[in-house]
Amino acid sequence: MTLYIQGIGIVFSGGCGIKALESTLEKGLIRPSSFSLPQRGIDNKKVLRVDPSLLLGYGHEKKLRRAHPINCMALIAAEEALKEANLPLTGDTDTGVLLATGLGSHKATFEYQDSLLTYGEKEASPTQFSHSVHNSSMSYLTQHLNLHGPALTISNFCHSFENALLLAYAWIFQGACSKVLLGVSEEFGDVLGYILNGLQIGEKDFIPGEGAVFFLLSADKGNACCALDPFVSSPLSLKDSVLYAGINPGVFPSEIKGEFLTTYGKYFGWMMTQNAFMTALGALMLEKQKKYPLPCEQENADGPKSFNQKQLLIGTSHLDESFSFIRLYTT
Amino acid sequence: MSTLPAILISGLGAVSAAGAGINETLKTFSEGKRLISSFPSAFETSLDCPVMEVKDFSAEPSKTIAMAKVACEEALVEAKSPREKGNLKIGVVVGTTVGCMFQSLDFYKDYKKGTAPDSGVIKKYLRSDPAKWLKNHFHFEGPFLTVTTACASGANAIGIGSEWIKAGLCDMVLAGGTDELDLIPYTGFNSLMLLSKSPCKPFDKNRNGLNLGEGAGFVVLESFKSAQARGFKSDLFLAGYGTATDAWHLTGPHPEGLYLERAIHKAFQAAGISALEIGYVNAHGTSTPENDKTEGKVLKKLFSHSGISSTKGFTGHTLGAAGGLEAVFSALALRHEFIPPNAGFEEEDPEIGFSPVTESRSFSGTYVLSTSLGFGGVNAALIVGKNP
Repeated sequence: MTLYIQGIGIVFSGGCGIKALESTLEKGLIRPSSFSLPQRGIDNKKVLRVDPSLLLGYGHEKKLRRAHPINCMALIAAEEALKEANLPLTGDTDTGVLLATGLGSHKATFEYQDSLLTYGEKEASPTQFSHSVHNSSMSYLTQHLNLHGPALTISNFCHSFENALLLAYAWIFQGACSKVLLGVSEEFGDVLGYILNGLQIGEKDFIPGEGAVFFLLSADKGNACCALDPFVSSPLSLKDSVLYAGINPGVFPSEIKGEFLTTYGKYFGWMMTQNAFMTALGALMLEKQKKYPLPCEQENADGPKSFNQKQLLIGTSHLDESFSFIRLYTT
Repeated sequence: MSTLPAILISGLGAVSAAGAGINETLKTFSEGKRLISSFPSAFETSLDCPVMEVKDFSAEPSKTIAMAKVACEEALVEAKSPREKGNLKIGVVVGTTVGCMFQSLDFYKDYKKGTAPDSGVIKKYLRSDPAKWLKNHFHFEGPFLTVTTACASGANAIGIGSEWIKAGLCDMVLAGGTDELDLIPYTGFNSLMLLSKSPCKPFDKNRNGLNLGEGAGFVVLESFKSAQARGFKSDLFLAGYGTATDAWHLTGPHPEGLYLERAIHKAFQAAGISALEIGYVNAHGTSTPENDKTEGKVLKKLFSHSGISSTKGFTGHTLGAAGGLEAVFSALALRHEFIPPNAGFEEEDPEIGFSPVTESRSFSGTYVLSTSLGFGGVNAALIVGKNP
């Protein structure tokens, strides 16, 4: 069975929506902001954050007044995916929702701990506690899109996105629902910045990021931009281009190194579920048949080049030193 | 049923305040004895809300994983499969809440103070994905997944396991829920005014909140084909699973329970049965005013003919483990033809309109139902059937 991508919605440091992604890729430009914790000796580290003002203007300000950015990013990315698929789903019970997240609402967890330390156990914040639950983004999403079908949150650190894809496949395959709105949402915060700095993961120019990306998946071809196969057990048999997500390409089998192993991940910054963002980028490359320039912090003179490929592998190296592949192909 | 059941339940395992293992649990239910601690022993707290703990248990790599490991081992022994995997593709699905969150208050205190927090806590957290840990521990080759839908996590994990088997992704799946008591949910549930200062009383008119608990409940699900190939016979099968979403509120249930009812009907549809064939309902029954009112309305409407009880009076509310544990308890009830009592119940609530079973009693039937409701509006229903 084939999973077709009917729509993609994205929120990342370059903006909201697939057009914002396309525009960023055409220019090949990223604009990291900086992150400092002077008392911790962390000074001017780069990070690709989502401008909170981007999350306004969707008409949800009142309903989302208590929501955290991770909740808002998920909702907006999901809405954008539906808009792109031209499929209003409100009140739908036949669409499953899967939210994958590596670390969940960690900022709300720390804010809840702040309230605990500041006000004591008897006066801790119920609002922060209820937002710290991993399922909080899913709750906002289903409420605002009025979706009543199966709706689950998956959390397996770096494996979250691919595991959610597997479940989407199972749901559609055995008829639990006809469509699945599947996405990821990750946030950046001071404590995470401190932790990532301490773990010293990745390369020297490691840049963390935040954002959300959603895909509307179905078994019907419809107007799909491309198809997706989450079961690539033997990537070496495929002579594909490999888009790389993760922090250490050294874990890939040597035979596939250098084919097309690039640093496109820096368009989004590193997140546990960066492979979902790379899947969006790969889908756009296949649909537009363009090889976009590598991300650069200055104006990039290169521009996109033509790209004559029918399929792409999204290769991911995980923190646990395992690797996995998702295959995208044209329809 | 005219057709052979697709998904067998080949093994059961449970660890909770009601007992370490199936036999202890059955004894607790038959004696009706509740083991309630006045305060948690795992962490210091100024609150005085009782809990139901699993005592004398390892905390390595975490208590959440250690309890899951023991429950899984028990289930795998019954399934007679763990050391003879052959070509079987075995997956793991775990439902949890505490088990996937970074909640170390000591780390955060040190961070706030400006001293160096223990980075070992982070490394330990990143190694403690329960599904992945169990997959590696048992050397399984199939997929793994951790689902976190608050208090419905364990039930959804079992439902996902059945979907994997139906989709041909696995021959066998170890599925269930696990969660340990922790200061963050303990104080968090208190902040939401959901904790009782006395032993909980599910469905009682004077119920005033829940007691938190901890534990792990797992089942081994297996395709009929796989069991047949290895000559294994089981008396139980997973007849149906349904889930539906309230899309209503971050923490509160839909007041009419519309989507709990929808989840139950989806499970009926999957099982090919009607409400009349359900002999016993193991209810979510947390003992909070809102949950029990909402759930009670739905259960009264559909199951006036069935015995109903909540087992949370024996286990406390074990959050992500609850759906797993209660699926195991439902299966045990069906196997041993008894209804575990609804500990703590004294007086019928006119707003609910039924009294649950208060003394352990026998029943005969072919199907039982377990319901789960979680923060975020997730509802799940599992139907367990008995092979003739």
